[in-house]
Amino acid sequence: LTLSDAKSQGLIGEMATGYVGYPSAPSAAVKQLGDGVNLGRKSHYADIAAKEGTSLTVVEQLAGKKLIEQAPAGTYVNDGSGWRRK
Amino acid sequence: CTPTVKVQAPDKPIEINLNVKIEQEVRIKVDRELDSVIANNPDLF
Amino acid sequence: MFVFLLVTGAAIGAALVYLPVLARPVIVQLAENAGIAGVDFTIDSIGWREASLTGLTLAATDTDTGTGTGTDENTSPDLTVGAARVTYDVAGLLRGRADRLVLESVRLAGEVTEDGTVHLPLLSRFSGGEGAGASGGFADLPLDGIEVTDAQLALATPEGPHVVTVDGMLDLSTHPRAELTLGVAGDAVSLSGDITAGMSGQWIKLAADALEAEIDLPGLPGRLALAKGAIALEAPGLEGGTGTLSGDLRFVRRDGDDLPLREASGRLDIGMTYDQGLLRLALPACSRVDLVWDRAQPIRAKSIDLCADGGRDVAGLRLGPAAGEPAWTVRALAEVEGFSYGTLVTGQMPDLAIDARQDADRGLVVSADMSGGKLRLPGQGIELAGLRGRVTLAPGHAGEAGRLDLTRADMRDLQAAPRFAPVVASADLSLDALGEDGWTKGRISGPVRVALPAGQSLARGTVTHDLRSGRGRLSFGTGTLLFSEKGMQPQALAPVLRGVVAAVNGQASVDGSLSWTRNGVSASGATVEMEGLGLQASAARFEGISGTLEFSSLVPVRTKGPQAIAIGVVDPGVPITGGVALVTVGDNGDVVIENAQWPFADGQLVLTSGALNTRASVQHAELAALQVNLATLLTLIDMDGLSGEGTLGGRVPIEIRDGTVFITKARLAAEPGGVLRYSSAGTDAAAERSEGANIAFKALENFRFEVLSVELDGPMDGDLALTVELKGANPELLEGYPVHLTIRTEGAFLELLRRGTVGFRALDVVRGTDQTGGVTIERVPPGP
Repeated sequence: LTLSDAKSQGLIGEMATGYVGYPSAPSAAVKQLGDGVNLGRKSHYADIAAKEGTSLTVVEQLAGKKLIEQAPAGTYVNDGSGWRRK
Repeated sequence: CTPTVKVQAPDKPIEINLNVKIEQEVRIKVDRELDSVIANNPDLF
Repeated sequence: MFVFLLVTGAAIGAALVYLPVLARPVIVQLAENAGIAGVDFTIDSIGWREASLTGLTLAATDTDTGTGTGTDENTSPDLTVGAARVTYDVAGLLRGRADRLVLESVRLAGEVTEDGTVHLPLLSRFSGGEGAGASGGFADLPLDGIEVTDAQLALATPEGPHVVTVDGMLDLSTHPRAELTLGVAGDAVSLSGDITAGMSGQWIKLAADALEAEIDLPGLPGRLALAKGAIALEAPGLEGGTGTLSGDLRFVRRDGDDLPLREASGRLDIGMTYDQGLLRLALPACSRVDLVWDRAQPIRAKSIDLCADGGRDVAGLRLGPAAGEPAWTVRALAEVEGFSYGTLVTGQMPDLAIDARQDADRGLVVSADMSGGKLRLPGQGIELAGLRGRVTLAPGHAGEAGRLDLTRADMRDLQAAPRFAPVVASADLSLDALGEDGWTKGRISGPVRVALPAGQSLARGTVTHDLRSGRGRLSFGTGTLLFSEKGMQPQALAPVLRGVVAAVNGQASVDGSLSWTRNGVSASGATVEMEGLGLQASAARFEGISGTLEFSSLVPVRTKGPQAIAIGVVDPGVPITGGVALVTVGDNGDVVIENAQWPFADGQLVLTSGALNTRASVQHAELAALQVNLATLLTLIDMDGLSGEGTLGGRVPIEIRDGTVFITKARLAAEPGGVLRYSSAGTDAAAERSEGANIAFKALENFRFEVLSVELDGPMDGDLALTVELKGANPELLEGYPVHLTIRTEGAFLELLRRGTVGFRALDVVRGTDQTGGVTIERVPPGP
C-alpha cells in the first residue's frame, strides 16, 4: 500500500498541520503507513526549521497550506473544519 | 546637629513589563525549501 | 483276390502292430537329434495318420541341472506329458519328420534362483546345452506345428512356488507363428494374457494383450497390478528391436505398512528399444499418476505427471550378465492438493521436476528441481513463495542423506501491518539421516542467508531442524548495517518501526537466535549493538545513540528489562548532550524511555516521573532541572551580550500529544539570587525604544536579582510562551532602586534561540515593541 494509493482510495488525507490524517478510522496497515509518513515529514520540517532559524510550527503550517493546495482533486483534505473531498 | 537626609527605602519597585513579540515573517526561503523537499520525497508527500 | 486283401490286411495289421515298434526308434531318434535324451513313453496307438503316446516323461539328468536336483533316483522327471498325439504321413516319417504334435497336460519343473536367473532344464537342453549339437531354437524341430493345452510349469522361486500355465499353438512351418494364452499363479506374481508371436526370416514379432498381472513381493510395500496391458515387440533379429508396453498400473499399499501413500494409479505407455543387451525405455507422452495419501500425511501430491525429460530416454536397463539397476531420468510435475503439517505449514508445494538416477555404488539418488509454490506458516504469519532450488535425496547413504540447496525463496509477512519488509532467503542445507531409519527422521542443518530483493545482504545464520522431534534453532547475525537517509532505513526493513523512527543514520548490528518446537517458536532473543545512531523520533531528533539492547524475545519483540543506552545529542532547541536513558522495547515495537538524565549546563535534567512511549498518542511525564548553572546556560543559549551567575532549578512537566511536545507550566527559579547582565547594542537602538524599555535595558546592564523565575508554557517548538520575572536592582541605576521586571515573549521562543545562533542580538528585537503597545510602565514615585 503506497501513500498515493491510500490517498486516492480516500483512506488518508492532507491536514493543515502539514501532516496526514485519516478521514475514517484507519486500518492497522493504513495507520502504520500514516505514522511513517508523518515522522518522515517531521524530520524534513525540523531540518528546514533549524536551517532557516524558524520554528517547526511555522514550517508545518506552511507545508500544510501548500500540500492542501497541491492535493489533486478527489483527495480528502481537512483545513481544520473537518474532512472534505477536494 | 546636622540634618540627616533619610533616603527612605523605596517600598514600591519600578514595575516594568516587557512584551517581546516574535513575529513570524513569512519566509520565502522556507517556502522554497518545502517545494524541493516535497518534490524529492514522493513517498512522503 | 480275397487272399490278396487278407495279406495286405495282415501286412497292415502287422504293420499296425509293429508300427509302434517301427515308430519308437524314429521318435526316439527324432528327440535325440533335437537334443532330448532320456525320453520314455508308451505308445497308445499308431495309425497311418496319427500316433498317440501317453505317460511321456523326460528323465531328469544330472548334467544340466547341476543345482542338486539331479543326482538321486526319485527326483521328479523334468517333463511329463499326459497325452501326446503326433500326426504324420508315412513319407514324412521315413524322412524323419512328423506333421503336428499335440501335447496335453504337460508338467514341467524349473527354478528361479535368488539372483533372478531362471533354470529350466528342458529349455537349457534344448537351446544348445552340451552335447545337444542342434543349433537350438524351435525352427529345427522336425515338426510343422505343436499344440499345447493345459501345460503347467512349476517354478520354485525365493517367494514360494509359482505355476505357469500355457495353452496354445506353435506353427513351425516356413513362417513360424505362436498363439498362446499364458497364466502365472503364485503368492508373489499372478498373470494372464494372450500372446501371439511370429517369425519370418530373421524378423520376430510378438504381441501380448488382455494382460492382467499382480505382483505382491514382500520387498514391496504393497501390491502392484496391471490391467488391460498390451505389449508389442518387433525385432529384425536377436540383436535389436523396438516395442511398446501399455496398461493401467495400480499400486495398493499392503495393510500395516507405514508408507503414507495408500494408492497410486496411472495409465502407462512406454516405448522400448533394445539393442546389444541394452533395453531403453521412453515415455512418448506424459503419463499421469493419481495418488491417494493417508489423511495425516502433510505433503499430499494429488497427482504427478511423469514425463520424459526433453525427449531423452526415461530409463536404460542393461540386460544379460551385467544386468544392473535401471538409471531413471524422469521429470515429474506434482500438483499438490491442500497441504498442511499440523498447523505449522500450509499452502501449495512448489512444482517438482524429479530426476531419479542410480549413482556409482548402485544407491538410488533422487533429486528434484523446485520452482514456484506458496508455503504459509500461519502461526508466525509468514509466507514463503516463488521457491527455487534443488532437493537431493540419497536414501541409500547413511550420514548425509540429502541436501536442500535453496537458491531463492521470497519471504513475506502476511500481517496487514507487516512487521518486516519482503526479503529473499536462500540456504544450503544438508539432510543427515541419523542412524538407519532414513531421512524422514533425520536432521536438517546448514547456512542460511537473508537479503533484500535488490540484493544487499541483511543477515547470515545457520539453522538446524530435527525432523523427528520437530525442534529446531536458527542463529543469525546481520553484521554491521549501515543506515543512511538515502540508503537503508530500519523502518523500511521493519515497517513496525514506522512512526517510531525516521531519517536514521549510523551503524547497528543484530545477533540473535530463534528456537522452535512443533507448535511454534519456543524461545528467541537478540543483541542489538548501536553505534552513533541518529534518528528522528516523534518527540525530538536524537543523535549519537550508542549502546547494547538485549532482547529476551523476538516473537513478540521485548527487551530483557530496561536497557541503558547513551544519547549523544538531543536538540529540543538547545543541544543537550551526554544523555543516558533506560529503555525498554514493548510488545509491538513501542520504545519506552523509563528514565533518562542529561548533564545540562553543569546541572542535570532528569526524567523524574512518567515514561516517554514513542508510540503512545498522549502521554505525560516530568523533567526536573537540578543545579543548572545560569552562566553556562546563558552561554549555551549563546545570545550575544547576555550573561549572568546563579543556580537555576525547577520542574518541567511535559505532555506529548501526537508527537508534539507541550511544556505545561514549567517553573524554574534561581535561588537564592544572582546577577544578570545584558549589554544591548549601540546607542541608536536605545533612541527608538520606549522609556520603559530604556529603563529595563539600563537595569539589565548589571541586574542583581533576589528573584529570577522563568515560566514556560505551550508547544516546545511552536508558540512557546516564556515569562521571565526579575526582582532586584542595578546598583548604578537610581542608586539601586528596586526594579520588578517581567519579560513576556510571544511567538516561538525557540526561534529566538535559533535566531541567536543565526547571529544577531535577539533581545534587540524589542525595538519594535511600541507598535504592539506591549509596554506598560507603572511609574510610582518613591514614597513620601
